[in-house]
Amino acid sequence: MLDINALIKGKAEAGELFYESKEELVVSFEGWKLKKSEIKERAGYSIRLVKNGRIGFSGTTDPDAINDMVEKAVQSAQIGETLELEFPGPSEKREFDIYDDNVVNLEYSDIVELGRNIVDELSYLIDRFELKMELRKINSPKLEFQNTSGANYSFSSTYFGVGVELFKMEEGDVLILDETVSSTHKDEVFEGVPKIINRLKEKEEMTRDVVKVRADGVPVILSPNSIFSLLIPIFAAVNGKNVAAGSSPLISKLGEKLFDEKLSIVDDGTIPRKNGTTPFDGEGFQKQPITIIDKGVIKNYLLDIVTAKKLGMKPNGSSSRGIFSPPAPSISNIIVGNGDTNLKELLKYFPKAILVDGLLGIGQGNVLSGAFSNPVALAFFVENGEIVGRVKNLAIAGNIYECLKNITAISEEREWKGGVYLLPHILLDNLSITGGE
Amino acid sequence: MRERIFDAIKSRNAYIEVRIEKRESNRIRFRGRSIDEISASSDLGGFIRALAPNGGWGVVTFNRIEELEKRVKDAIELSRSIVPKEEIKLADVEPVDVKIKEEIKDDFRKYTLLEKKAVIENYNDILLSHSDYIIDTTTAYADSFLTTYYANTDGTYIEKERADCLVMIGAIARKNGNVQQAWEARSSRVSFGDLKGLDGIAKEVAERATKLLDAEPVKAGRYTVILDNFLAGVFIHEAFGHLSEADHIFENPKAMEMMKLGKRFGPIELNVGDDGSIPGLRGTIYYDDEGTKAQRNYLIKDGLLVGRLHSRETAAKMKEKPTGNARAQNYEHPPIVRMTNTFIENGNTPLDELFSGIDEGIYACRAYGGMTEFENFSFSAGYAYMIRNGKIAELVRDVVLQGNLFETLQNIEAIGNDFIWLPSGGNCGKNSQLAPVGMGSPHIRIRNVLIGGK
Repeated sequence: MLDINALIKGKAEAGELFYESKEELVVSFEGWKLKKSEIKERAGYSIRLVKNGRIGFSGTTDPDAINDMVEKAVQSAQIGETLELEFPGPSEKREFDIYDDNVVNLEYSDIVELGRNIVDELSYLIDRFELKMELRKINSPKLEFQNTSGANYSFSSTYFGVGVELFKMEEGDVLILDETVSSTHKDEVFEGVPKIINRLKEKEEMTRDVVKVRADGVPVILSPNSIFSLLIPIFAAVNGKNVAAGSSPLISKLGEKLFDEKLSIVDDGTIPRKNGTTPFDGEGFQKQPITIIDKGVIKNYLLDIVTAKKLGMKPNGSSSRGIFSPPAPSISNIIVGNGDTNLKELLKYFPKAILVDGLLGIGQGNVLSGAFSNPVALAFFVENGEIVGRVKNLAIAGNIYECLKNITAISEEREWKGGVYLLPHILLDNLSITGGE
Repeated sequence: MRERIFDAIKSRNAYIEVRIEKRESNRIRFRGRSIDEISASSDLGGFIRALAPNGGWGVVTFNRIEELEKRVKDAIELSRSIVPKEEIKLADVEPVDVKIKEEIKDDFRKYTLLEKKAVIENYNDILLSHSDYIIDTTTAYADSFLTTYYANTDGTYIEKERADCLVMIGAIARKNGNVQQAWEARSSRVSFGDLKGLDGIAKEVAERATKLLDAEPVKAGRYTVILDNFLAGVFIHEAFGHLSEADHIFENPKAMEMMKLGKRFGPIELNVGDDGSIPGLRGTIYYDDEGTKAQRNYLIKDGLLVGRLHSRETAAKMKEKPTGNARAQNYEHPPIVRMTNTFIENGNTPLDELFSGIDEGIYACRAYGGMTEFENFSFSAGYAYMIRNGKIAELVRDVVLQGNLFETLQNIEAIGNDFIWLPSGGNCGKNSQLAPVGMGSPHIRIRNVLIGGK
């Protein structure tokens, strides 16, 4: 590893050096067949420095261009923002069990075999569906970080994930069923695979009957697969960048109750074994759980050094960065608090309900305003707690600042999605849903 | 580079292609009065794809170019480890040996970061001084200069340059809890000067964001809709273009039936195509990332489906010809079937006639974004007006067009005669890869379009 002090000596007054390397192995199945295998290596440096009080940034993947990178960062600092950055000093490295030798040692042939087993399990659907699958492991990722205040750390985390997609595309009917499982640990993925296979099988059965109903005015249950898109505006609104820039609707709303008291959201980058977990954030601060919403009350923004400085607050370990992207606040593992209604009860809470399990147009439109309007990709009609069949041609619309004010119920049960989101089912009786038949 | 790559891939008993890319890029972004980001970066990396006899695709991507030879062997080994049920074949392409220089009139590399900053700072000032309601901006400049060295074992060698510069001018207005946004982007392959002198556009953006604060959300329902050039371009790209990418259908018999050539897709006036060979446009590639020459490909002619977009693999499988549409985001990705510059050709209805006869409709302009899942689409308009009695009336917000592509294309009632290639920079996302694309269209009028909302 290079030394930040030596690199910027005589060129800048303070700085940070970041190095990232990783080797990925990706095995892809298409049309029920093993089609492609990839080894992807990537390594590079980035530097952020302060020269004459101004901030500059540069990154490179060319190992012969390190000096050039420093030079470019110095040049960029000529027009960079003037801001006093307070870099953190050294702090203790805590262990969160995010590295698994079993992932590193997982052989290519083991991955192919796992893929083939999944294909075999689902092959009874071959006449009606196409299958696409990607198995990905990140082998030897390494992050190194130094700053001129003495912080100096390195760590590795592993990743293994499987994504399976069944899709059907015929005139007048498109259906996509997909499930993913991922973890930093091999055993969790191998244990999770039978579960996602079963879920795909169940869902496929549930979609066989198409029910013709009008959905207008029917209460809506958002599944963990669909609830995420309604949370995107909240993540944008608590992002320190939007708060510091003045465009977040949550400016000066800390401590105010804006949502139903059943809603609590924590961003926690310290949960053992999760893909969003790291000992430090992109600026060398220890990760910590950050309560975003507690019982409907806005509690914290996600802040890095720059946004905290601008707001006169303290950074809270929310920064992430890459070779070509300067540090910026971002989410790590999102935990939505569970409710006290078990899923069975939730399904029969109302005599009729629509279970929405997939949306189109996610994160599209004026996200900051909280407005959403999404066609529904997958939904089921629920009668007296039983799933009767699939409903097509639905759309939902509204504003999250209205419809999450009154939540009818949240399920006790939650599911991990994408290895970084722990999400419940949420029942809303005030969400505008239209279409059907 | 030529000899180096050919040395590494010769006498290997496999099809091999190598792509080495060197990219220099700069980004400057204002948020409000502050410089939110400034960065100057360089990226160097290689991509190798091998197809051994009776093997599958073996792909290796890497940063240390000196490891090329070893990496080629790795890719072949990966390819051999896969035994597909059906042999992967590649359609023939005539080998070429070409060097393509970007024809730049006013090279952004001659300007300092300070000069680049000055251009957008001016636009940023215009936005911020427009009204007290403008509380935030995203005004950004980005440029990138890419040199690609491509060779394959068919004997093709292509060395090409690609220059891109763009500005984005975005304003966020706020009144109490109501937050509205407006933005415009301009991109150029050929001239830094194209990004100057956009003061009028900056004023428009500020004006629009402010006015949207007082606009009512649109009332959901079915309307006759006129799409402006921008939204029509995005619509044809998103809703139809992606369906004509053969990789969605080449392994799927039912989908092939749905996309059978000769089938009626729209009115006789409708002509749609894709062309990656037009100098100066954002989606222009000249040659794709498999060494196939880009060309004009008609997809819909006189309302009938007449073509689709191919890679060498999808073309071989469907017994059609490669179209020059295999593109990769960068060296970290294999090429996939993608659009280049997608267009709807001019029809014969003058703009004012498009509006006449609409009692209550919507004039939807610009695009916030779009997403399709095969035939189902969803687009957000950047802004929109109601049309009342054939005239443009009040501004409305939160306009999202939703529907089924096949129905919607059939419902095109009239096509304007005011075709333009969109001056904005567009990036299209597919399979986690972004690609710069161009779009062009006249205004179009569609009946019975579902607009989401309450």
